[in-house]
Amino acid sequence: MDVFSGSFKHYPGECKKVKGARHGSEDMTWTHDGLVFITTGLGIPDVEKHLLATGTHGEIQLFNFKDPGAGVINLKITHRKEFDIVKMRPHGITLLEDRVKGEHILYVINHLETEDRELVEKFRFSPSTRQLTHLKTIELDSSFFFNNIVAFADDQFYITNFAYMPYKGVLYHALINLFPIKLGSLHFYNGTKSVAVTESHATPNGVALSPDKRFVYMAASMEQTLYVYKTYKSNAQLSLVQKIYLGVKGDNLNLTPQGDALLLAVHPVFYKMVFHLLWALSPECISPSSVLRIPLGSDGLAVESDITELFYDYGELISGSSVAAAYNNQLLIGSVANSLVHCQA
Amino acid sequence: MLSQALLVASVAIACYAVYQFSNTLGLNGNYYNHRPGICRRVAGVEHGSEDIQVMSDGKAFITSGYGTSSILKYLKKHNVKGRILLFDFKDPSAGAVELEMQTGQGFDENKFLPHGLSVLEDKERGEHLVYVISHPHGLPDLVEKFRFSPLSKQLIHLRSIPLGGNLGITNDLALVAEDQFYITIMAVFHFLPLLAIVETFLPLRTGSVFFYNGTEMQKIIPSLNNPNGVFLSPDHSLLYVNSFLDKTLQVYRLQPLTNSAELLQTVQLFGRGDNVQLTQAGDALLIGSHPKFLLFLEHYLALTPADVNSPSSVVRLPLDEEYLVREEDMTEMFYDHGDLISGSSCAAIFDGQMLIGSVMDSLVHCELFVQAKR
Repeated sequence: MDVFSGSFKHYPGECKKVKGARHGSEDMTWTHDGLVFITTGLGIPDVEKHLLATGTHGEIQLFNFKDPGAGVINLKITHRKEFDIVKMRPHGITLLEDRVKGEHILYVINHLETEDRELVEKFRFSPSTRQLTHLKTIELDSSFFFNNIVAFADDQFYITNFAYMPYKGVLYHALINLFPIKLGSLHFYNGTKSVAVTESHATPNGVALSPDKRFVYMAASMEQTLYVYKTYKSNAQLSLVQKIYLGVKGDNLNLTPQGDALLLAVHPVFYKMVFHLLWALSPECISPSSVLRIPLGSDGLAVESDITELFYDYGELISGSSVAAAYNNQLLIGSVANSLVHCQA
Repeated sequence: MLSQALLVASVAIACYAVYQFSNTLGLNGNYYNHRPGICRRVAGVEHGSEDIQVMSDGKAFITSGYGTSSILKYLKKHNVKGRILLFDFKDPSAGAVELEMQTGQGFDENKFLPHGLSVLEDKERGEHLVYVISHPHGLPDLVEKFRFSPLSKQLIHLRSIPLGGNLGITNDLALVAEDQFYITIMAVFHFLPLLAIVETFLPLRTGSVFFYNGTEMQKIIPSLNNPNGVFLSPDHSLLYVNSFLDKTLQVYRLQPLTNSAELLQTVQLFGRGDNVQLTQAGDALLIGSHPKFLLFLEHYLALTPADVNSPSSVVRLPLDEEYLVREEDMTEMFYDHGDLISGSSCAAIFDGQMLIGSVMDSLVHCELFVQAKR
């Protein structure tokens, strides 16, 4: 629970909150030309109450590293009647990058808790109109709670099963986060169904794929460990090639654009994160934020000895950091329910 | 009923004591490397660079070859010599140069084991007065006074200032004027080697700060827990003292008329703060600190300390207009697991560069990324 831990704050450069971010920025996915798609409005208790009270819902936002001063904008979604946007509570996000026309395909985990459904929504981004078109809804087994996702090919992705959660109440969530019980695993969705491709883990959270798709990186929060797996053509069982004990609770993972390192957002003082998750909008319940940079070697494995901490904040600038993305000496840091921060080195 | 209540109370007290103790040893907390720029070791410095002070022209004096009676085997095995080095921030590639000491009578270079230093800068002629605490083996601690000769780049030994035999083990000093300084008495159990280490984790309050007025020592601040580095604010009104055991920086207002000091601020640090210096801009303190004390003890007592890593950390404490610390804006500028530098004890900044010294390991020079942070 990190009751005795503490560190001094430090920043990689000048860091400021980004305009337009309101209900958190739990996950991000980026393109090589500086665009970042961000999920906001994850339905944790205080945030859910606020969304219902204000008649708003989860959104997908766009940030441009080439124009950081413009802040974030909510992307308009064109969809059929069947897609109930009011109930959207997005979590992990990933994209298949279209380097030619910029019509990126996005996959977003959507928790429909009111109907007890776990969904992955597929969208296409239109760079000219800056809008998203909803293409389809992929239904997953609702006895699991999915957290993060990384696209492998069209309608194929790795997705972290955070825990087997037949009842999705706050109490069950709290239980999973207190005791490192191995109820989760990494799944692969092959176009028709999702299958567990690793052994059981406690709270698998962030997941990332190497540019050559040979390695899958996964952070298991309560185990405080980073796992590196090798993929095979059949994408059946993955084989574990590396395991690094981090000593902190990692959240989401993103690669740097050059592919030379992983950026892992962590919760350095976890008991404060527990309070923050329960009472996210209370100013006293802030939680320190931190971003680690885990370099990758040419062999795809993480270089454990060169792990550095890029950012540490007590929670005043940003509370509960859950994800980070980098581009050209800039760093964008998202949180579960708090601010979005942009740093210029 | 009563016995049950007493049992619960004792368990609670015991748990609290264990927590406090593990806190002083720095057992908890996971930290990661981060640097303020491109950092490299300075060649030729292997046996410490315990204290550093930079002059306004960029020349820095560094003590090297720290030793006490407790670690004689290490001193003998590695032939450690007490030295004073000169590093010029305006010519960093020249590295750290050993200054030749021109000795008068009575000063035995072989018995010179330097610790804290303080320099009275001579801005006109560069003939700075360098005062260094020395722990000669088998003898009471002394303060050695030198004059720096800028032409010959030598240190001319002027006198050895005796401090009085039974005070204990001194650590650092801060000069007010020529032959007048504040000095920390870190431990009083000096009659047996290694016994002083007990005072680094048992809160016995046996440490103190004395003032040497030119002729005699006067106790100014009593009952401190293992005071380490000491430093004066630029206007000499405030005294900063690191309590090694408490992991705090204490800020006192000096009352020279009554020979006392009033505690103004207690700044809680995460690691054990060693020496204190002021940044070049005069707007912040830099403290070299030991985040994990148990690892530092292992490093300190090892026969070959270079083989045992002890994490290093440099913390920046911004000051307000009254020279008090702005605690909410404290940041850590440097953290190393011990591979680049173990046991960091001090840091100095000049013109976009930082020098980090250690008790018994290397000297590190960094070119800072963010130039504005001087």
